[in-house]
Amino acid sequence: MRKRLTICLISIMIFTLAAGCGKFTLKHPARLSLAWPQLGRSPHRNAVCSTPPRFPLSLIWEKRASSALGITMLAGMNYVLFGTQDGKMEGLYLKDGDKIGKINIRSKVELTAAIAGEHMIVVKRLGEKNIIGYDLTKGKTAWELSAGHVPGEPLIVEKRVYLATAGGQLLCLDMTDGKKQYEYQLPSACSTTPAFLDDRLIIGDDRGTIHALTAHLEPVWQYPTNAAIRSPAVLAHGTVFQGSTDGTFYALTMADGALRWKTDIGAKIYHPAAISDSLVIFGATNHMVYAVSRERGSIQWRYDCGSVIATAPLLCGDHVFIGAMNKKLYAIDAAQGDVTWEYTAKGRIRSYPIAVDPYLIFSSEDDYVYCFRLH
Amino acid sequence: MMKKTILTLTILLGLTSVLHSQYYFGRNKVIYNQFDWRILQTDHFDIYYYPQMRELAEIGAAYAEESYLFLENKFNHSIHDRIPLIFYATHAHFQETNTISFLIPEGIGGFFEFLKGRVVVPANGSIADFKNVLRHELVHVFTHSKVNRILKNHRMTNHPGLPLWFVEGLAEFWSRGWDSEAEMFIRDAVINGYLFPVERIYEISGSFLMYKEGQAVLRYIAATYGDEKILQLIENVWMSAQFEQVMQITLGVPLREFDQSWIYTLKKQYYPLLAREDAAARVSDQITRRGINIKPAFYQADSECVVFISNRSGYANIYKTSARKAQKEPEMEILVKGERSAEFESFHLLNSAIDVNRQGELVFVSKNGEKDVLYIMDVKEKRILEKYEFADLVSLFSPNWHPDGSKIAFSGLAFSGRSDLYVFDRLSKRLQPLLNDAFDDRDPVFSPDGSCLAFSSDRGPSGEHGFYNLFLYHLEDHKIRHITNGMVQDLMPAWSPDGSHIAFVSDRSGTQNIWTLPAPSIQQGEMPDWSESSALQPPDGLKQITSFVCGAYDPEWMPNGDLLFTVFENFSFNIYREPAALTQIAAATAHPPDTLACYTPQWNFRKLLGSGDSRDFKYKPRFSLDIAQSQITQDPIFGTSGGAQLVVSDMLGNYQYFFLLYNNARTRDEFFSSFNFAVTRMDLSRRTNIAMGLYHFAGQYYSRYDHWFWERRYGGYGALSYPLSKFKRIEASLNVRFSDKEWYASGYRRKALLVSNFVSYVKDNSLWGPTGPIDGTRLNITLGNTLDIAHSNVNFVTAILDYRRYFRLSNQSAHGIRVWTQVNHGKESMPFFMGGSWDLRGYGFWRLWGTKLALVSNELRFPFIDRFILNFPFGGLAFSAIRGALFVDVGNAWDEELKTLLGSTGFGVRLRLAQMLVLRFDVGRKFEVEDIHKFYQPRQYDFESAWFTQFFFGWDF
Ligand SMILES: [Zn+2]
Repeated sequence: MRKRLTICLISIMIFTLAAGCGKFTLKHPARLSLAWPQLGRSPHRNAVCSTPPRFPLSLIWEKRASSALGITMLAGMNYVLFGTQDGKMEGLYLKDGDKIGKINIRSKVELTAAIAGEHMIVVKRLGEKNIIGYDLTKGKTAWELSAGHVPGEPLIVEKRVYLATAGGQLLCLDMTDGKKQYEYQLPSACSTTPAFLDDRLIIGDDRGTIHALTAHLEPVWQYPTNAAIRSPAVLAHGTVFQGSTDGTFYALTMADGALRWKTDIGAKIYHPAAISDSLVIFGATNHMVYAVSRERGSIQWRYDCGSVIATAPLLCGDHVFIGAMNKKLYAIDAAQGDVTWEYTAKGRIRSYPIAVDPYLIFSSEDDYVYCFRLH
Repeated sequence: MMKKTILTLTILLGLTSVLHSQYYFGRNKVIYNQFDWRILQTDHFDIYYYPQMRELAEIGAAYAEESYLFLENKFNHSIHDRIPLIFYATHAHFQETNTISFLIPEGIGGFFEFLKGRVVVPANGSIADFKNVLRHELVHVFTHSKVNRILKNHRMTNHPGLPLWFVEGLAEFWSRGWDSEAEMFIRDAVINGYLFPVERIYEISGSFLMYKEGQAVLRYIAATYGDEKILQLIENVWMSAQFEQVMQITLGVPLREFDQSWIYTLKKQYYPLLAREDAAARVSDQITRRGINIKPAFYQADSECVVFISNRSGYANIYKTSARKAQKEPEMEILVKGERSAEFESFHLLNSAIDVNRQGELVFVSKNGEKDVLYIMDVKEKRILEKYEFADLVSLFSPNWHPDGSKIAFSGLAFSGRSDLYVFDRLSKRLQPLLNDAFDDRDPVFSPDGSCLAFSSDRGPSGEHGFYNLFLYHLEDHKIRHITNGMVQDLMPAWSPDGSHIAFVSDRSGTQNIWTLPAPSIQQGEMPDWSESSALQPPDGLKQITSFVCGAYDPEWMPNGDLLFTVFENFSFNIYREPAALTQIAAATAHPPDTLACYTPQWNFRKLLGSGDSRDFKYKPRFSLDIAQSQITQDPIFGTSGGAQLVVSDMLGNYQYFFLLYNNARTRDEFFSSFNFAVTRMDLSRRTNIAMGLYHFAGQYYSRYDHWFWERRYGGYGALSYPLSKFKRIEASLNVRFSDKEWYASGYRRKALLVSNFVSYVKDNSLWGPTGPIDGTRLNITLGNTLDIAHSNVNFVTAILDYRRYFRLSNQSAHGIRVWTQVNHGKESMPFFMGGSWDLRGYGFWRLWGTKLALVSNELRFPFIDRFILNFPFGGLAFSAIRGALFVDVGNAWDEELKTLLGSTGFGVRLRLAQMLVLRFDVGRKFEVEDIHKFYQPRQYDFESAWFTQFFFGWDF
């Protein structure tokens, strides 16, 4: 018995060595400068892609990561990259799901990242030197910085990286060398991710206050909600769209923080919205996906997924993709609120679905990454 | 679960070799009922219930689904698998559950068992309590699932998870929120200075105080940092194996600082209370001073006396003492000894009052086997006069005398789980049910003229939210009238002797205190029905007559207008007397009367059937795996062997299979002949527990007696265990096996077909201290024989007597005596072994053997150091007690004739390390009495000059 087990172990080791010994570099640096969909695809965090899907979608591949993924996956021209909760940075080729190579960031704690050009900013949730600037073309670390526990995602705007720590510190770093450019101390702890548009950085804190600051981290206005903010704001049409765990969805004027409307749904909102020309779409813990009018906040339709909504919505043409804890990814007709297509994954859907024409990518809790053809 | 596995293995190996002394005692779980289990399937739950409790199952189903949605939102999490919910209609039924092996004390309200993900919850009259416990356990289900998921996602296998205080505190906080019970315990802990900071909460791990402190910590986090921080603490659990670190990262403050501000906030909140409220000991006359003393009943003998229930000795007893103010603990007389015989198994310590009438007759209830029995006792003679049990009533609570002693009112819990009022007529022996509905009616008391009952019930409009108010029931026209109303807990009414006032317990002022109302004077026919709106206005003149910081209960009037009651203070319950309470009422400030502004005539329990697609069908046992483990067993007869062990059982735990598989082959050609397996099936579904098994063991073994030998044995056995009561049982077993044995030294080989029979009588009513029994008796008498029916190679009889008696010397100290003898007599008698910390101390482990042995042990057990705390860098380790012992052991093992006696005497220390682990250390000197006839002459004792020391893990005998 024992003997056979050893042979088995050796063969696994050989296999992994063979598969993972290449260096993690991305070729075609010119293409790297194309937009990488950081959380919500853009600094303003609105997850929208113009490609209309054709149903039913066909599964191209599914692959297993080393452990569960966080909420963020990054997809460039040919690749999808993600950090795992056991501290690995992994990359797969979009066309077939093959591994790209090995990335030498040694970590045991959860990772997340954002990419701009050849720079990848990796955030280790905990520990010393937890902010890492990684050069994707050279395949090595450019700089490191210690910044305390960062619960959210990094935000890249032009050559700057914005981060919020659990202690409520906002940091602005130079993307190329990691030098601190600006910092600002929020009055409360913070568990979420900043959003940025038109010289306005918006972030909510654990007391429920929404803060607006300039690109230089000078405060502009605040707006109080009644419980912690756990999701990034979405900025569009001069408006801040923000759900709160107080059970209310808020729309504020970006310029001065004045309330445009609010809609009370009586259940906690943990994920950002997706904004179309006429609708704001978001999910909540009460199993519901809501579509409310962008102008007035009145509910246009709602769809009961039968389980807690676990992701932000992704608007793809006339459809919205959203994942729930019943392991299902739904495609809902954005105009009507009817489900056109659904897919049952191996675990609760955890990462926010992203689309890079012609691919739709998401992951489930049992470590699987799925790639579908959108049309 | 683990314990049962060991137990069965022991039965298995034990019957074929020697009986292990540590397992053959123990109390019994008696299965009185065979429930006709059904399953009700709702959206997220499989609800196990029996037809008699259908109503409760539906109420529970509705609340479980409501709680599921509530907790999904709280946890931002879902549960994939259907959750098994096993309901029992009463706590007595719950005590019969086989879903866990150990005996369930009355203090356990329900549990979540994570091997099968089962939630097991009984109702016990109160729907509000049932709902609270149900939600508490469902919080555990969500916590367990979420934490497991997080740790799995982070690939953390050896993470300890959340600490117990957090897990239980959260379950309390998200089920009850903050109630007057929690308020009372935390106030008391703050004001009397025994609140444990989070940094030291491990010292009270598992205690009731830990639950309430956990609840208070989470309430503070929610109030100070926001509700969402509780969830973040759970979500961040992976960040460190030390929860202190997780708290620091999540809350942003070091634990010590957190503790300081938490305790500061509590002090700021509670210290000002002392300005307007009192500590009872400062204003009233204290009667008792130690342990839990509750439910006073006035008794007029030659002097004024009080009869009450107390667990001051460890067992709950009914006591009598003087009702006069005492500077120190007064003389106590035990009227009824509880918790050590089937007759008085339980008085429902905190839940049931007692009463004494003018004739000096005490009425009380006790669990007696399957049901509760109503006992009437002559207090003076200490003699039980009458006892009654009632067909459909499982439990009885708080009996109360009619003023002329002809009738008794009480609250009865039916098989269905409904709790209603009953009046029992002593003369006609007729039981009159007064109400029959799902509402909980309790604490009935007769008015002094006997025409009415005052009682507490959740039937009022606020009952839907779990609140109890007071009502009157007119015994002639059967009408009910409100006397209090509102979102408060009004309990335990007591009619003043002149009939003018009703004293009762209410939490209107934050914690429970004693209040009074003028009793409404109602003639027959005058009392309108409670559904008529004119009857709704509760009487004017509401007054608070005790204002204690922590709480007062159990009001009992004395004929002279003095009031007896129980006070909770400084973590103990004591009985107090307030002189001239009746005359003080006039001077007390009146509070505005309760109003019934918006009244709904009768509220309804929300019952299930939300989605309409629920299904209902009969339960059929389906087996699933509980434990699969590889393990190494070491057995003195069978040697050391490694193997696999599997346990499978059905959802209700009634049928269990144990598999043991291993191979102790040393060479390849021995593989098949050394294949060892054993399978046992246990049927626990009936009162008679049945075990049946088959086994095959073969291999080389060593024993001190036989030296090296090879043996192959296979066969089957059956065993029965019939509990006479919780404390006594009869066991019988039959074991048939083929044995082929070869002694290496002599080359002798024999084959035998052995048949063994054993029958035992076992009694155990011992009371356990921290390291072993300190009161009660344990007895095992076993007789049996082993016969070779094929070749007559073996034929011997076995007799075992093991008697242990513990004499209580004081609350903490006891004298234990053990008399033990084992005899095998006949052809090829098996030897018994002795020596070591288990029996004859000072001698090597199993160094003495013979077909006969005898031992007498004496041990004096006393507290040595009561509390001992080691501070480790990773957190403290608290030993709740270090105890000392003085011992003398005398005995020997022999084959033919007992000539010499061996003995030892010395001193020992016992240290309770963990829930199930006691470290014992003995120092002493051995001695020998060469001629047994000189045993009575200590001068003949030949003491060894050297001292021996022995370490051992295990309980005291
Ligand atoms: Zn619990």
